[in-house]
Amino acid sequence: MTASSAILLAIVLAPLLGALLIVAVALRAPRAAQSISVISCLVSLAGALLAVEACENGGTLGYAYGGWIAPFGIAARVDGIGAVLVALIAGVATLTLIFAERSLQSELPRDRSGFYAMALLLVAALQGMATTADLFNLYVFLEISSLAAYALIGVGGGPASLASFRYLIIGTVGASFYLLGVAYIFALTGSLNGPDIALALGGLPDSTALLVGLAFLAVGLGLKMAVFPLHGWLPDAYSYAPSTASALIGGLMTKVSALALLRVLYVVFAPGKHELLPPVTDLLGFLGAIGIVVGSLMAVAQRDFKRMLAYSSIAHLGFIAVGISLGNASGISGAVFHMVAHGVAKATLFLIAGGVVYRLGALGVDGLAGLHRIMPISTFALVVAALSMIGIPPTAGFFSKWYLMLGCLEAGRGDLFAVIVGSTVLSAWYFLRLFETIFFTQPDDVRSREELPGSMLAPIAIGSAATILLGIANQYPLETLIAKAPVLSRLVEVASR
Amino acid sequence: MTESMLPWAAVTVPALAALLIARLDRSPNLRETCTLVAATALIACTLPLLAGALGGAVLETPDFEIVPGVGLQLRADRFGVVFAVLASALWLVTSVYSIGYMRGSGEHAQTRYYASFAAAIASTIGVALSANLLTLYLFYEVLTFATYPLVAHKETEKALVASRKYLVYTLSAGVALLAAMGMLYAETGTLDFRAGGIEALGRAPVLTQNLIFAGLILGFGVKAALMPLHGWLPSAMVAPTPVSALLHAVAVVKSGVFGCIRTIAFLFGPATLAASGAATCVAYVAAFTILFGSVVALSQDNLKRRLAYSTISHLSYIVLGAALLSTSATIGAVLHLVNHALLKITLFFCAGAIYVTTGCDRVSQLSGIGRRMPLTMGAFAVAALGLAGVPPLNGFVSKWYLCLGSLQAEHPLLALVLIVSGVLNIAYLFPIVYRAFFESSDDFGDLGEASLSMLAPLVLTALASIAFGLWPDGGPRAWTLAQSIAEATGQ
Amino acid sequence: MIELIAGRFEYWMTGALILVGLYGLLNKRNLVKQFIGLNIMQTAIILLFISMSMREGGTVPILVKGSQAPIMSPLPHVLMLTAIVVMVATAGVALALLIRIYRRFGTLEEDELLERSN
Repeated sequence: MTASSAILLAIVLAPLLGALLIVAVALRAPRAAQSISVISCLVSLAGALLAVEACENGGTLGYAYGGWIAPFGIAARVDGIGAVLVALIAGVATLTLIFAERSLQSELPRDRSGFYAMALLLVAALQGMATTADLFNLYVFLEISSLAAYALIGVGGGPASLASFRYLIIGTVGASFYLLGVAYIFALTGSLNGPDIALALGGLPDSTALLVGLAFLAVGLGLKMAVFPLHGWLPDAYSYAPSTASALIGGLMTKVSALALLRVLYVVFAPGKHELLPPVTDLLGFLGAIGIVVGSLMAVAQRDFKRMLAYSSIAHLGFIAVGISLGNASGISGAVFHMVAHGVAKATLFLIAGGVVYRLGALGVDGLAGLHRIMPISTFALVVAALSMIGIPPTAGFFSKWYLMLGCLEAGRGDLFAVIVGSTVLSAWYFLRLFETIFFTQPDDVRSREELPGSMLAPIAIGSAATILLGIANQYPLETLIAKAPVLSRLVEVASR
Repeated sequence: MTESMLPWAAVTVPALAALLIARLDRSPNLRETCTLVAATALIACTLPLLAGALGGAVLETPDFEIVPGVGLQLRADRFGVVFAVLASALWLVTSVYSIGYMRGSGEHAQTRYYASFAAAIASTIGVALSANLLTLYLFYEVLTFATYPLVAHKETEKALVASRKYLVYTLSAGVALLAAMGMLYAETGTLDFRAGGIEALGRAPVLTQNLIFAGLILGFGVKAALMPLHGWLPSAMVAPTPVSALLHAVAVVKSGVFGCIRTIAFLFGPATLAASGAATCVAYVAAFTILFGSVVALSQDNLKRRLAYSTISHLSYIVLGAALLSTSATIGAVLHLVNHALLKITLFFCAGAIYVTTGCDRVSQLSGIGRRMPLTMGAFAVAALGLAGVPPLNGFVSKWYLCLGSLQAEHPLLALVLIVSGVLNIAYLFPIVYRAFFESSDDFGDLGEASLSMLAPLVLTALASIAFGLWPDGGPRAWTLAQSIAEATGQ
Repeated sequence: MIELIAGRFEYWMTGALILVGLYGLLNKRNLVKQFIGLNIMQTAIILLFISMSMREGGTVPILVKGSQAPIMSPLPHVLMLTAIVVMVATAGVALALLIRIYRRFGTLEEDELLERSN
């Protein structure tokens, strides 16, 4: 087994084996569930970091499952962009699962091992999605992750099961559309391997069938990505889920679907048929811009903290959509870095929400008055993560915005430029209202200082520290990993032809 | 250029102080000591930077590339050093004053106050010493967030409304800055401040140049209270007086003006601007602000609001000086940046002392107070003379250069504006002095001067104004610095 | 015209089934019926895939020495086995959720659920 295959397998298999292990031992030793989860995520993280190192400056890692080489078999392939994403997934998962134990005690008293097993399954599937080069394999991992997500959301109290069912319906429709798109592509090219399809497409004449296939693929992934107006499932799903689940799903799932869309557009279609892209990317950019505005405005109107974060996620996915639609290196780099920046910050924010539920039991925004006296460190972390969402330097959120801005200018899209720049004020609006409530309104009852326990506080602190560190050190992921990924270098070639 | 970490030290000292102060809620004396020690340490950091700039060995930090071609970098060049030394010296003075004020009026949330103050100073020093627009933007936005708790300090409905207004204005300004910064980078690939401007910018299409210039001036103009972007400043007077004194007469507003000068002289340069005529536009907006601010000040009964409009007016003196693009005008602008700070802070200190001692905040209530608080009102009178531009005060020196600069730039109308404004200054400040000394009332009973920790700073700044009027090149050698800045950035 | 329909029969059938499924999803009030609509939609896509394995005059996909006859492509069948498993797993989760919803709210009609969950 070569080093690269070992790395890729470790990234995907470690959480999967962990899930199976939990199920195997859960009856005898329920306490072990958390340790197994964290360890498997750490193994995945180790693999991810090795992949990051291997993919610097345009390197890639490849593996053919079962030794069947592409296009006959299923191939896994990680480039700079993929490496960044698998590191994000493993990192956020580790932090969330460390946080999970105490949080689940307050939100989900029974069946904790089941939760951990589902969470690991989700992580394994997301890692699979991020590393695969095969379209159908992507579908399988997409559905596995979605099923795990439905389960994780559905175990929350109250309306959670209804929210999860709605998510299931819409999500499965999306996955079905994606599968339909794969059917079209398979019928036309006879292959399921991404790079192979790209080659085959180059030789095909333009046809409506190709465009329809692309449309189905895009819509299916757009549903999973919660692009406006396909975002309806998101607010309920994120608000009613247990906070740990919200952190995991809200931080990761939509981003990996966005990555899949990125791959479909630029690895599969762009090399051979880039003239097909403009109708899709134009619409994507337009919808992304609307999503930014609508998501932010809806967030302002929310009284529940988690619902506000959910609408904020819709807005930030708009950024990623706009970045993908721009089709130039800066825009796509900005989109990918925003996946990281938003993933870390939003997961941290959801973890803080979980901490608030743990300590205070309620999540109305008004209930957060005086939070800084009860949980000063968590509140500080909240401020940092919020600043990243607003886009204030030196947090990571500013730099992803910077690259997106440059991408808009390069593509000559003044309208998208204005939306991205102006969104700072929109994001600031709802977060600053939150700050005003926390810092400047007096709570009804005075509570003494009661910070979160260490296992909850550490992930929150690490998450917010990461937001600033990723910002200051952004040149490493952005310039050595993302910008040098082969897909982007090829874009530059295509553009100059 | 000499490499040194001292500029980072200058930013880190107040930042660390902010964190430390936040932990010292239980021991107020220790907390106040922390502030004073930090302020002294900051002066100890900025004075070597000043010496370096004067001696020709400009200290700059190692470049830390954070975006391709642009890094997080601080450089203590002559212009930056002026602002940095000013801010650090006045922080010490204001801290002493704050102690007296906050304890004298029994204010709540003092820890938050001192910590936010330190954070605001850290950001201001960062703005002052930034070597490029991106670093400046970073500290500029952090400044907004550091000053927000200070504006909202009283937590009353009025304070919250004022703080929201402040944020809306300043964050929108941030958006304009961000857009302009992005376009500038896309056009030239650099964001460095260079005396005389970035050459590549002069070669860009005129529309792009104008958009970038408009964005930057709009962005900085909000904090610099150029009309009609000034709306946040009078409302922000709801904050405690030391906040109004240092931040809204010195740090925040001067950051805006500082940014305008950096834009005009260090990003665009006189050659580029003369070609497009954009600077003349700004000059006339500034002139309008000077007059309009002074006129509105006449009608304000609330003392701090009157001073606020006076600030709006005087900030545009500085912007006007920069926009005139002539050597003397630039000297006048830099000098007025310093002089106005000293004079205005004196006035605000007096207003605060009066408020703490008597509870009065309206001009109409101040009859006869000069008998009871002669030193305070004496300092007020001195500062009023200085703002009006009467020799031998420092205000006269900067005004002289500004008028000279208007004539040099062949805009004699603007010199007239400055003179008219001087008259208006007398019109809105002298009635206060007259009323204080020459009218009598029995309202003030046995009240005496404010406590020493409030009295000493205001006397000190008033004396400093006289001293710098007599010896403009004394102490930190502001005049020499101003002149070399004007030469370096001139045509 | 006949050629248009008969020659592309599998696409028309798939399209019709998808529309039936979507109709069920969108128009029915009962959650179980919505789920059945979803199921029909997924099945339609699976059938489309399988229809791609057709080869004129093809025979079972077993290689026989010496025989040159065309064989039906086995790949779509294999892929669809996976897809069917996914479909079944989805059904499992969906039905489990429906049981949970029923236990919590006592109904599976969408309008009543909307009332009871607010």
